Amino acid sequence: MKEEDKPIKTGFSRRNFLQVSGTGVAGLAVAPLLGAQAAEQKNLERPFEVPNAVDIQLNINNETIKLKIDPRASLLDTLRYKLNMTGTKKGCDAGHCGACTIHINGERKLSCLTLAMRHQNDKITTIEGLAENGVLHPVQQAFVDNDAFQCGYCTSGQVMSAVACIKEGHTKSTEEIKEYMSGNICRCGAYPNIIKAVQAASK
Amino acid sequence: MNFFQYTEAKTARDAIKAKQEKEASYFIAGGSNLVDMMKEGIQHPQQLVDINTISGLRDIKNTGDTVYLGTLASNTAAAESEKIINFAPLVSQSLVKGATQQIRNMATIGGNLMQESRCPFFYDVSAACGRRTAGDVCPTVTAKDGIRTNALFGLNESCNTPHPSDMAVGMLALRSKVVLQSKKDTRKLALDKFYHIPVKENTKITHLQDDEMIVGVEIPLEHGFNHSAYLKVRDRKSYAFALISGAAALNIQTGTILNAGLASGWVGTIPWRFEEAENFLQGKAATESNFRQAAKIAISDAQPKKNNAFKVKLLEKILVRTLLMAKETPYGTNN
Ligand SMILES: Cc1cc2nc3c(=O)[nH]c(=O)nc-3n(C[C@H](O)[C@H](O)[C@H](O)COP(=O)(O)OP(=O)(O)OC[C@H]3O[C@@H](n4cnc5c(N)ncnc54)[C@H](O)[C@@H]3O)c2cc1C
Ligand code: SF4
Ligand code: FES
Ligand code: FES
Repeated sequence: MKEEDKPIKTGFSRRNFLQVSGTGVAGLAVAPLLGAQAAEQKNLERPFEVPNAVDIQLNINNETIKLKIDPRASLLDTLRYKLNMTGTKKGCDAGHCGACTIHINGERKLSCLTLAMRHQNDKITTIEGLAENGVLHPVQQAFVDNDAFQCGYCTSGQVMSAVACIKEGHTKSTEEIKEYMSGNICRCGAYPNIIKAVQAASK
Repeated sequence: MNFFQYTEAKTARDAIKAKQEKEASYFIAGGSNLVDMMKEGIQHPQQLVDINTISGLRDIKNTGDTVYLGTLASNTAAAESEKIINFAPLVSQSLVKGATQQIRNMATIGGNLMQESRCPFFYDVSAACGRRTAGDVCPTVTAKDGIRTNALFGLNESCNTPHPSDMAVGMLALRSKVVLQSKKDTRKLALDKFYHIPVKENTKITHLQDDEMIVGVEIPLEHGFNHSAYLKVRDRKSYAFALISGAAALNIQTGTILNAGLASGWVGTIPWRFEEAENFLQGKAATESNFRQAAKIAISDAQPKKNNAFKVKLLEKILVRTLLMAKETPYGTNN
């Protein structure tokens, strides 16, 4: 890692830090009498405070979490970068791949096209919330038993989708499973075993 | 993405009021289209008015004369509703061919009708596009031979891209009406009067006014349709927008067509209805040769360019096949 990329505070690279304090310096140059130096110092303490941040509360995997987020943040980015819940994956970030599938009030949805702050009264379930007391959810176990992945990147989305697909009852035939799992793209092409896993778990 | 003000509405009137108070305000329902466009930098709302917080707009009802869908019913709820499956199955048949279960769980009825273009140049914010910036003349209009995705009907110098919705096409064939509420009253517009072909002056393709909100869709049962089918032809088997789709609803009594609804997706700049072909079929026997003639009538005023000329023949075949499928699919047998 280059020196300038080394994190100096959780999650922020030195390069970003320099950019932000640079802005402060520019401010100092044009308005030296307006207390810009003090402002810059404040900036140094908390250099990356998000403008217009909002306080929200989310219910994730039966836990109520209070946090401050950028109002524009997707639920996906909030999970991954704010809460460090990296089980939910970012593939396309545009609704095309299904890697970010989570459950909202029991229904599968795409967290990349979801604004986190709109879901404060909802029950959110992520891949981290499936296992109970250290025991894998039957769908997770079926994926392991059926070797239903290669690189594993799409897997958490596949599993979240499969859990919902089974609950919805869309597993009556291989054709139906294929159709109702088609929102989860697998770049490795592990589809045959994914279908087997869904079939096994639905019994 | 730009910053925006966020307002939760409790009633449709509140929502309209809030929207009118600020420039560049957008209703947000499921968000599956709008959030995508905000992320892509295509749309820049100054305010999002959340309509998901309004109660009473999720109902799916059968009133005897109509089936009514509240605008906030999810695309999944609509597709799987017994009332829809039994009395207006074409809505369900078209919905399940669109997107995926995750997206259908998010998508709403109004959001689906209002969804934006899927044109590659619309998504490329560095390209000129009349649907992003009114008056822009885009590459697909100036390309001599057009591009593959160009529509065949409702073209003009403003925009050439086909409307992407599947559901709207099914609803159009059933002669559905959009129910619009303003601060003062409500009005109903037939779906083919709700959409208009693109214009130079603005980026809209609907007659929805600034002080109006979609509250639901009404599907009339008076036409007596008792057979229907939706055929979606696309580049991959699932999870893709159509290349061309066909929707047919028929009222067949002892082999004679008393009433026909025929529409297509991805061929018009707005969901496209073939009224002349519908009229031709009325009173005719439900036979393949009549279906062929109806399809001929439907394609007669298509405006292809070189790169999408193949679609004319394809459309003709799809319409014949859709009508044949409909004839074989009485209500109550397909879902
Ligand atoms: C990957 C992907 C694949 C897809 N594939 C298909 C497909 O194959 N077929 C298909 O038909 N669709 C497809 N879609 C589109 C999908 O159907 C739409 O995104 C969805 O229907 C939009 O509904 P929404 O409630 O999420 O709308 P939002 O994103 O909330 O809103 C969309 C627009 O509608 C407006 N709006 C919403 N509700 C109202 C109202 N009540 N009154 C007035 N204006 C309103 C909003 O202001 C906004 O401009 C796909 C989408 C994605 C992301
Ligand atoms: S065809 Fe329509 S949507 Fe596509 S670039 Fe031209 S104006 Fe924009
Ligand atoms: S990351 Fe959400 S669908 Fe690809
Ligand atoms: S296992 Fe690699 S993408 Fe699915």
